[in-house]
Amino acid sequence: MTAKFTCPEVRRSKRRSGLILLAAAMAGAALVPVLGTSYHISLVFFLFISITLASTYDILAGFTGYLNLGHAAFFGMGAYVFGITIQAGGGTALALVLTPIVTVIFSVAIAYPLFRLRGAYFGIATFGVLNVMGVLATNLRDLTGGTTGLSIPPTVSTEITFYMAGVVCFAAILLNTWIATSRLGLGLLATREDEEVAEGSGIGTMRIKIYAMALSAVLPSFAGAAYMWQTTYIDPASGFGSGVAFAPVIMAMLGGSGTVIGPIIGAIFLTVIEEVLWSHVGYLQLTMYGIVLVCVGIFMPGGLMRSNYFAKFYARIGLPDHYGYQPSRLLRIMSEDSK
Amino acid sequence: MKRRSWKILAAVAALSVIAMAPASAQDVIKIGVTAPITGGLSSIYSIQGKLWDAWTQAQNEAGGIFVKSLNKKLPIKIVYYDDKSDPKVSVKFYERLISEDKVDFLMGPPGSPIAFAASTVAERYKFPMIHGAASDPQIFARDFHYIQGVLGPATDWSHYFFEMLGKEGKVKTAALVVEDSLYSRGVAVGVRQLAEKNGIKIVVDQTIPADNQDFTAITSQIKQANPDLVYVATFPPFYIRFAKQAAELGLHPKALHCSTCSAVSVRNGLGAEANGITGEVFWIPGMKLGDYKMLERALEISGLDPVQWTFALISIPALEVIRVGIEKAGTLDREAVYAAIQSNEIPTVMGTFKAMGKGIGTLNPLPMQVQDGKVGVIFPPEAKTMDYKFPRN
Repeated sequence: MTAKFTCPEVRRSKRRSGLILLAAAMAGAALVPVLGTSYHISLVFFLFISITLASTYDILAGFTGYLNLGHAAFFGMGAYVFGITIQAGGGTALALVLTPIVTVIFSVAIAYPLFRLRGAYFGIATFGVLNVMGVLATNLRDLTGGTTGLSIPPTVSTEITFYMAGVVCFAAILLNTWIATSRLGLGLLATREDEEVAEGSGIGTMRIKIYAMALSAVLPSFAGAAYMWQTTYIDPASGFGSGVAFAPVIMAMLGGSGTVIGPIIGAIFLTVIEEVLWSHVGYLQLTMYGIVLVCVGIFMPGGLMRSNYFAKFYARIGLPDHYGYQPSRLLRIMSEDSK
Repeated sequence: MKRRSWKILAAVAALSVIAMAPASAQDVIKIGVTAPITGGLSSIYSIQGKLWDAWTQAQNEAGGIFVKSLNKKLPIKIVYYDDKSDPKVSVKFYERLISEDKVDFLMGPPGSPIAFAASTVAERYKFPMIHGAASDPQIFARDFHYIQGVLGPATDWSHYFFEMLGKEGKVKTAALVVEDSLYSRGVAVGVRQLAEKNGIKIVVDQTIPADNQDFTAITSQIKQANPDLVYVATFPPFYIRFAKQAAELGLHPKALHCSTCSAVSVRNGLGAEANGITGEVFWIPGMKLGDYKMLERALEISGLDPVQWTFALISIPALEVIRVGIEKAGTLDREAVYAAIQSNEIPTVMGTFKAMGKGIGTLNPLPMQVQDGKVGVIFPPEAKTMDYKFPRN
């Protein structure tokens, strides 16, 4: 490790540059309702939702190696809790309070039994949770509307839901950044590298994994609420379907799982590719979409952020390592610091 | 030097006036829409874009739509996007159609769940949206002002079929199998009412998840009840899975009906077992309603089989309603055209459209039957092309 990477002042300066870059990007996005059309607002709104889901998915997958294929359940639950509260006459304020509370309680409740599993078993079990949520949303008709779906009156402007989704997205990126530099992040990384050794070293792995699950549930629930508020309609397929389930996984892996910027880049890349193909290619868009994904997988196996092109750009703008490289490198840096 | 400056200033001013002047008179009428060309509903709507392109070409070959206020005919352009059968993608593209593509009129997306979400965009922007293939009552129960369907409510979907059964009096009992989806549940609500009205007792009534693969239990239940008719409210993938398994398990009802299956997909999926089955159809060659020659020309251009893609044809009356609305209003002003649509009876290739209030229209499909590989309309008498055969085998 070079002195450049171990010097705290340089790292602090780089961290600042990362936050400045992030703030600048979000400030630019905030101008979309002023300068853009309603389509741009809608496009960036859904991009915010995608980034939120991909970034928060990566809290577990990137830092602990646990693939939560049911991450979208938090989004769907947020949308349903928000919608049900509004429909019951509870008002927007109460809906916004209840949404994260119910979702976090749910995430903690499922975390303990789920974290007794590892590897593929954990992934399959979380996907099972998502399916159970879909079945419940389909069958609890009086509460959720079943397959008919749940609708609320369109009472809010798209600008308000846009800024709500923007704030949630910004918070998701900040949360990832904070975890990447915190003791919690270090504990999660240690868990990922070797859970038994981490446990033996005094890290309460079960406790921090549950923390991580709860943290990863909060912001997707708000994203779900923003989605419900904007589209005014949710059905089981939109909330708990396989499309919404796999999108954050693909985005994070494509961008570079285990990095702060990777899920963001993955979400932007997929959104742009989809937009170009779906707007300009009549019938072969799915084929071309598949070809693009296969090419990225073959030529950039660690994700876009770990490709040489991005690494050079990344080095030029001077972001700290955890924004674009593997967090295990952070582990090494921090362990060197402690020596 | 001074004179030159004035010249430059004058030129700049002239250019500015030209740039700021309103765009030259409109030279095309743009209609925007999304369709589930891929995704869950693509088995019915995958060729929708091809049909719209052909209909546009046929319409423009005839000169387009006459707009009285402009005293000329304008060609049509349908701007469409694939919504992947995903409500949120549809919502995004409707925003695009309004703000980027600047379409003049909107047609609603096929598929009730998608239409449910997309119609909120129309209401939010006060932009009239004419729905061709969405008829679930829930969509129109929200008191939205800017959505108008051309179809009657889903609950009326099979009313011709049940009216025919009631008149014939041969079918006394029925089993109802419902795919658990927004649209099919709406159809089933109507089937229960129509059966009772026409003296048919429903002896089995089961709603089954849309992705169900094993129909053993429901087949046994139906075999035990031995009804005259098995009515399946569903789309082709579900129906073919059900009908195949039912036949393998020895269930051969005297009448077997699918609410939303094209005869060709059923024939291809079931082979000989498809003989005698009934279903609904919107238009088949030989029906001479409305501007049917325009549709025939569109089908000739596209090479599409109207029997196979009968449900994709539902968008054609919606386009005809928009066209006649423009002609009646004599202007491209959206509010005026919308008012004309809602206050006139409009002939279409599938019958006469009339706005019945709360966004509900009047068009309904006609019952058809597959007989020895041929497909024909069996009711009402003025439209039928063959007699209903009961029992089917």
